[in-house]
Amino acid sequence: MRLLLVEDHKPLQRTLRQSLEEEGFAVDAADTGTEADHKVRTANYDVILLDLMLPEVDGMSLLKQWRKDGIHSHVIVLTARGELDDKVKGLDSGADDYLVKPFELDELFARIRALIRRRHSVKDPLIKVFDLEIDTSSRTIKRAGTMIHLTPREYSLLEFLAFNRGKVVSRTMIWDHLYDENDENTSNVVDVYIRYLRTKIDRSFSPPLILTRWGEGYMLRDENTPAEVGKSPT
Amino acid sequence: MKSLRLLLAGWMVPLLGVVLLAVGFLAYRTADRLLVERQGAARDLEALRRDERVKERLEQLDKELLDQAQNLARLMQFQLDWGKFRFRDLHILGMLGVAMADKGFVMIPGWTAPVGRGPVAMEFFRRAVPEIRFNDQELQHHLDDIAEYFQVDTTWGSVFRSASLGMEEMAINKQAFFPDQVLHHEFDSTSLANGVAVRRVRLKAPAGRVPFFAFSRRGPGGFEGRPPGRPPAEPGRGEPPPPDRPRGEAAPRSLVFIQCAYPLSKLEPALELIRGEYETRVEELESASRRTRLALAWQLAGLGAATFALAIGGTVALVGWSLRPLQRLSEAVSRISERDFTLRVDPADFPSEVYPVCIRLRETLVQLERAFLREKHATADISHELRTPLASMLTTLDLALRRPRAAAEYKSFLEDCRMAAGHMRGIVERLITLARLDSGSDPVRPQPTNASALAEECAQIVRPVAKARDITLDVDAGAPCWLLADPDKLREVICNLLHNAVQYNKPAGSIRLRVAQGQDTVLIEVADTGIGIPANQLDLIFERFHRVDPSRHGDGSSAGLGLSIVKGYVTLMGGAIAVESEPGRGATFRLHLPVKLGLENPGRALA
Repeated sequence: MRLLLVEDHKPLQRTLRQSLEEEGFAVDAADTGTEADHKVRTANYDVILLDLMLPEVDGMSLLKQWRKDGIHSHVIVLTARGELDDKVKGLDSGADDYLVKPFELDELFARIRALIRRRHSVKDPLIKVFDLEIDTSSRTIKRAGTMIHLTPREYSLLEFLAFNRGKVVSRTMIWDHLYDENDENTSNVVDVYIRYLRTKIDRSFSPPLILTRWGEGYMLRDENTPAEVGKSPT
Repeated sequence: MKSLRLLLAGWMVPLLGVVLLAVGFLAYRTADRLLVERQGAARDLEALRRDERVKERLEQLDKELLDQAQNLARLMQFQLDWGKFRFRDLHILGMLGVAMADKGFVMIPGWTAPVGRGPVAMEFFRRAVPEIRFNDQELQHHLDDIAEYFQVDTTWGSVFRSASLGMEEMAINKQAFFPDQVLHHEFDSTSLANGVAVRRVRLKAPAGRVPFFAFSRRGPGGFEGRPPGRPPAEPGRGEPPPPDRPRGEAAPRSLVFIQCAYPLSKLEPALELIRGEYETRVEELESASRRTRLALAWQLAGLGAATFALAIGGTVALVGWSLRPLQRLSEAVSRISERDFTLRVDPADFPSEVYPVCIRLRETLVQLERAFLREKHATADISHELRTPLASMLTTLDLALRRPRAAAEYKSFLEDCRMAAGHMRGIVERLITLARLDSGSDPVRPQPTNASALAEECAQIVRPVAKARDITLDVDAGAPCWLLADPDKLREVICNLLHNAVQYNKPAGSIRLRVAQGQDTVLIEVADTGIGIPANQLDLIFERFHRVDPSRHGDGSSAGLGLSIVKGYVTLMGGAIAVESEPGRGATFRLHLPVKLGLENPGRALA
């Protein structure tokens, strides 16, 4: 999942970014309002973490402008202003959530996950595809009752596929959601990770869940997916 | 808490009571005095009437006494006339009659005989008839039982006394009693020798027949003792003494003195009656005026009570009515909350007494709202400034604890935490400094200070920071500039200004620190070539948490408190600070400090 972290306090930005990346999110960062605005208009972020007190353009104005311009990324306002007025104003301006500094990292992650579920219209944090269980809250997966360990990036890829199960996701889409602005975009990175995932969840189980659509991308098998389609060779 | 209404009523009640009592008392007293005067006048009138009646009664007595005396005199005269008649015709018989008839009638030998014979006859009778006798019956008839006492004296010595006198005698000095008058009477009040108080008339009259109208008033017909068939004596019948006849010696010799007296004690019942009537009248008058007075008192009391009740009711109503604007104002004030400081009333609706209160209240509320907002912003700013580094620190710690890490990584996290804590400490210290300035608990410790040396020292401190940003810092401080100041505070001020100059400078900019000695001030000037300050912000930069650019410039070391502290310290040391700037070209802070420490009140240190 790709996030934009808008925070002008450098040490906090650095630490937050590291925390989010370690959690498996792809994180872009912006120091000023202008930079944030620019980034939001060029990339499709799942969640934006927005500080309100920013140089150049303040967060509230940015948020209003984005909503007006039809940018629907989920926004969590991160601010040191904890007054009720500020919260109400923030939520009324189009924020999806509001978190007052200082906050617990776990809470921030939980709220981000909740927003991602909401983005994909999923209420249940447990996603089941055949015998594959993905627990989005604890970020663990099981296949046929066996716990499988995934790296954060592998998990993020699987989660993204799971949220879009039954649908084909292109390599670019995967790239956009899983990698941040600093990652080198080489087209086979996605294929490499797909291969890792298949090794972990498909090799010793049946049926294979990760399907390849030649020339289009990949998709996670859904109950509705025709069996013959699923049997395409890897 | 006292109710204004109760208070006013509480004062009005006794005040009104006192006024009403005073007015009532005065009215009552005036009316009472009039009543007393009227009563007095009526009583005087009654007394006058009583006295007049007494006087009348006495006068009546006098008149009766006089009548009696005159009757007696006439009686005597008739006798004398009769005697004269007799004597002239029957000398001897007459003499005998006189001698014999001591019971028949009184023979008073008066004398009015023709000239020539008179004196002889007179002398005779005087000697022959030494006694005057009145027939009791006649006396009874003529005296009407009025005079208790009477006495008849004559010039020739005959005396007659009434039986009631007994042995008493009413003395009279015949010679001294109006000697040159023939006919005279006089009243007096005297007491008899036995102590009886009497009213007395003394009448002096000629003993002979004298044509005196007073004697003829009742006419001689009343004299029944005269012999029948004899015509009554008429004034013109005899030979009256000519009116112009000179008073001879005969006249004084033939005079009678009649005294009639009446005991006053016998008059007393009548007088008592008059006095009794008077007392009754006075009693009536007094009771009438008592009744009037009582009625007046009741009327006054009723009137007073009614006035009192009306006035109290009116006062309460009026006070309530006049307090209504205050009530409206109070309602409007109670609608004020921290969210809405507007006084929702129109001051023009209020009476002139409350109008200034409204206006003043409105002004105060505007100031209060401003202060409230400032305070709110300050609180928000403080929390923001403290929460951001705190969040940074907590996040770093959370991150560090999420999983085992390499030692180098931990070290990096710890360094981040140290930085955040240092940042927080800086803010907290600045806040404490400001709080001390506010409370005036930060005393100035003045000592002779060389501003030039101090400036050089500060430049040394800041220079490394400036150098890191490629900023040149020049100090223009030639001769030593001595002044009496707190060196610690002054150092803090200069360093703050220099840090600001570095922070808001452009890369490769320059800073010039100048110290100059003035007349009785020392000028310290910090000029930079930085981003400058917009003209509309020049007044605001010394306010707390104000930043020309809200950006925190990465490390967030600035919280917008530095210039507030600078201003506070400068004011505390009795100096002044001014700033001028050309946006984009730089800013110049000029600091004027008195050579002798200004005795500025520390409490007013911070604006």
